[in-house]
Amino acid sequence: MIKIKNWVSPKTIEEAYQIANEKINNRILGGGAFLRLAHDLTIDTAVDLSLLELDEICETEQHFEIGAMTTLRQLETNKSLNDAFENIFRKSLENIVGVQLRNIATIGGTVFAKYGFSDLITALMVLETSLVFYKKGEIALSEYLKTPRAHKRDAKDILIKIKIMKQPIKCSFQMLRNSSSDFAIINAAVSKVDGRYKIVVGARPGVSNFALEAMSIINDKKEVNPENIEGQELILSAVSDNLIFGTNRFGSQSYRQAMSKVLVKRAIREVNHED
Amino acid sequence: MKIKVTLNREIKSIEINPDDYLSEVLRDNGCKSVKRGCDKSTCGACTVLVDDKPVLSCTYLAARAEGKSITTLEGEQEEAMKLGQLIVAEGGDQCGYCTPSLALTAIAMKRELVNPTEEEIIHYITGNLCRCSGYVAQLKGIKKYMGVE
Repeated sequence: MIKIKNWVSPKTIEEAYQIANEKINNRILGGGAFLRLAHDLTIDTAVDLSLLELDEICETEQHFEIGAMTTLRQLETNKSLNDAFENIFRKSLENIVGVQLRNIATIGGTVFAKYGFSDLITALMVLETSLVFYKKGEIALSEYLKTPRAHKRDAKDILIKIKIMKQPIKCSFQMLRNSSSDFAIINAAVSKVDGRYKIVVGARPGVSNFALEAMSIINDKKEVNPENIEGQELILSAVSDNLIFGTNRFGSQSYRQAMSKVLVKRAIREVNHED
Repeated sequence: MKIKVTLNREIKSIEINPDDYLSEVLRDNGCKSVKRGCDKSTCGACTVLVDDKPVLSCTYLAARAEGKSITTLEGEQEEAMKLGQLIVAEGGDQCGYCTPSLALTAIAMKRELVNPTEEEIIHYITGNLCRCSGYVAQLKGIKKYMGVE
């Protein structure tokens, strides 16, 4: 149950920043989708960003720049973005509830909140993704995810846009769900750029993280071949043994640990499919 | 606070609380086709169109609808009649509780997708749960509505 006392829709980012920081219980809203599931949340003033024109996907020579208020459905259906990244946006988003929710939830709301169940964050992590904040400036997504959650008394910054570097890339997203439109029990993504891999596992149920040991083996140990069984076992064991998995109502720690190997194996196979 | 919206092609000024969800506001303003289902962003029974896009009105804060065009099934009677007849002909009407939301989703889909495949149709309506039809008959009706054999 949420309680919102006041609502403002600022016309500039500076105005939004000022209002958000006037009181501890003032809160910046993304898409607002997750508020529906919040328990006993009281917001003094809700700062709505929907008039700030942060809902566009732009292309520069080197990057895609995605406004923080861009909906998941916009990402899912944007042809340029999906063509550039082998449909990883469509694949990672199309099973999130239904079209109706994806027309509400935003990339900014998802990323800013560091949702552990997020499929999108896992996909973004294997791309060269950075976040642009109003005050803090630009920070790599992986660095942002490592930072502790902000305390209520901390200054509230505003996520403006998400930048993704254009590069020749092979990538794959994999997930496991009990049923279509449910939360993922576990998800994984792999990318390959210039022969170097990134491996990410999410919904562990913690927020998406690099499988660093596995990446080190697959990228630096030239004697390890991800195409043969011995090489795969080394890499996949490094995934399941070095990441932290947990239990919640969607799946147990041991099930997630076992399934992480399956998903990463499929993803590596997919990125190597046409090589 | 007050919001100004175009509700079923009629401009309206509606008094709301900042934490009201659109579903409650629409039902209080006579749009009883908007159903209250799970109230947890899951079942799709509360689907309405905001600027022609289907959204879950149980999850969409009414304050955010300021200046937007909202369509409920009351505003799409002609299309609803066409689709409804096709679904009834297939025996897919059943209890009818989810039908208004399914119809609105299908109407939005028809305007958004050109020559969709059966897979794309199924994917688009995944967010509308039905507890009695088993979906097969509804899907047959929707495919005919979309002109897909």
